Amino acid sequence: MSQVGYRILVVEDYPANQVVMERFLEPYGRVDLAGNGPDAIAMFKEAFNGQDPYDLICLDIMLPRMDGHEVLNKIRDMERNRSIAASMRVKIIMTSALGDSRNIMAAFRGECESYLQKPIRRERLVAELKELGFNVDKDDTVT
Amino acid sequence: MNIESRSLHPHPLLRWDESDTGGLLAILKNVPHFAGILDEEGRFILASDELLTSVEPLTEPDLLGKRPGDILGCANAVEAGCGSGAACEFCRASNSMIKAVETKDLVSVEASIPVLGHIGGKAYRFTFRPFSIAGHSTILLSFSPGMPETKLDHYERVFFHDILNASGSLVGLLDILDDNGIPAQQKTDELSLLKQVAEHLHGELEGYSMTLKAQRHQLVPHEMLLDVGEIMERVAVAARTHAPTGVQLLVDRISPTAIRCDDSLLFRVLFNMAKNAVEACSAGDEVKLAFFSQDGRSIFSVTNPGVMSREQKSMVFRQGASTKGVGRGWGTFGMKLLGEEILGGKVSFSSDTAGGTEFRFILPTKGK
Repeated sequence: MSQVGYRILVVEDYPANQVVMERFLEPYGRVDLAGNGPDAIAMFKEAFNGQDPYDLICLDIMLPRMDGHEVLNKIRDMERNRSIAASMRVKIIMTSALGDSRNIMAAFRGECESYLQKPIRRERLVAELKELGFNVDKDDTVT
Repeated sequence: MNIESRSLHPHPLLRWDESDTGGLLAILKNVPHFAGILDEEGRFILASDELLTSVEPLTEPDLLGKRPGDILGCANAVEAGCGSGAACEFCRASNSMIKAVETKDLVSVEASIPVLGHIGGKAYRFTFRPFSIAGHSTILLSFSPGMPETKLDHYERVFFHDILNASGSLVGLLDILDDNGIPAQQKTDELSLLKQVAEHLHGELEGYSMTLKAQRHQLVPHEMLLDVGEIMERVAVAARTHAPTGVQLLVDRISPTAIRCDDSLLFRVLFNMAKNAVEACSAGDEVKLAFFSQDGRSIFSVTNPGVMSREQKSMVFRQGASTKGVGRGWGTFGMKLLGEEILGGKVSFSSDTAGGTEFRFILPTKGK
């Protein structure tokens, strides 16, 4: 695992998918896991208020107690309330097992940066991270 | 209705001569659908002949003054009438009618009405259109029974979501294992997880298959002697794979006990109970799986510290509803269907701040 890197939050309720995402992302920094919407909001808020905000959130859409769209909206509201510029806000990749247009359109209206349909392949995820401006070199470690 | 009784009719609309309402009431009576006219408080003034003869043998006097839930046999209407029970606050049909009156606009909704004797309730699509007849504000109600298309879409959606989640994680885990650079211990851990997910995937497919067969009355239980402790451990092992990090599932120790039941079906009912319980928990919570005998009955209990909201309580056991949220899971409908209709037991729940949430499955104890 790299010693320096990004702060990443994976919001995913299916335990095996949590492990997969953690394995894929741990070369790039510290990965935290949340299994439902309210926990994700609490963790985001703690990092946000603690001056050590997350750089990346991988956010599943179908979650218990509060779905991913609602989590996304609440995060963006918090950032707007603090006048965080769009270029400085946390990058959010929405994920879902169902790739239907309704979910995709709702995700982008909610201002996420990207949408990935499961199964998430490592190469696709890394390509997406590069696209979003994360520094990932050829050895797949953070520079 | 003859002229004399019409002049005494409680509703002014029906005291009027047909010519005053332009024959509208006669037309409405004859539409070939389940339809009716309600007053602004949702009480029937008039119904189509189709409704009177088809939903339940009704006469017009039976109907007048009643609300839709009363004539559809809604379990929440039994004590105090449709719209007056505690659960009515969350009734989609009732709230849609209120919305139609307030907005003076057409409102359409799919709703499952909890009807006694029908596990999961009966699904209808209701349409409420407010309009005025001869200066009187009324609501035109039409509804159709059966499984609306979107409910079938919902089941398909839930099924594919859960299966794709599991199969997707298999792909991811194999991706990881394909990496020659990972340490041997991590490989062992990942292989173990892979096995769990494969079993989970099989379980999901089996569970959905069972529920669909049960709905079509195609399931026949195959009873055998079962070790209660063994089945509870198996349920716990399976349910733990669904538990969020930090959630514990504990199994009460019991003395050796055997009961006669269908192994797969009993496992599925208990697994649904345990899975729902762990998924409702957060890190630090404990779920307890227990068994005891009482008065010739075998009682399985699953408790978790969470407390359901009033709205969640009103939706338990309803077809298509889920305590996990909109569009999630088969909910508690499956455990009720399999546990009661197929196994002949009783599934119940309680949820309050004192005791948390408990689901119970009670079976009459059968001799060896």
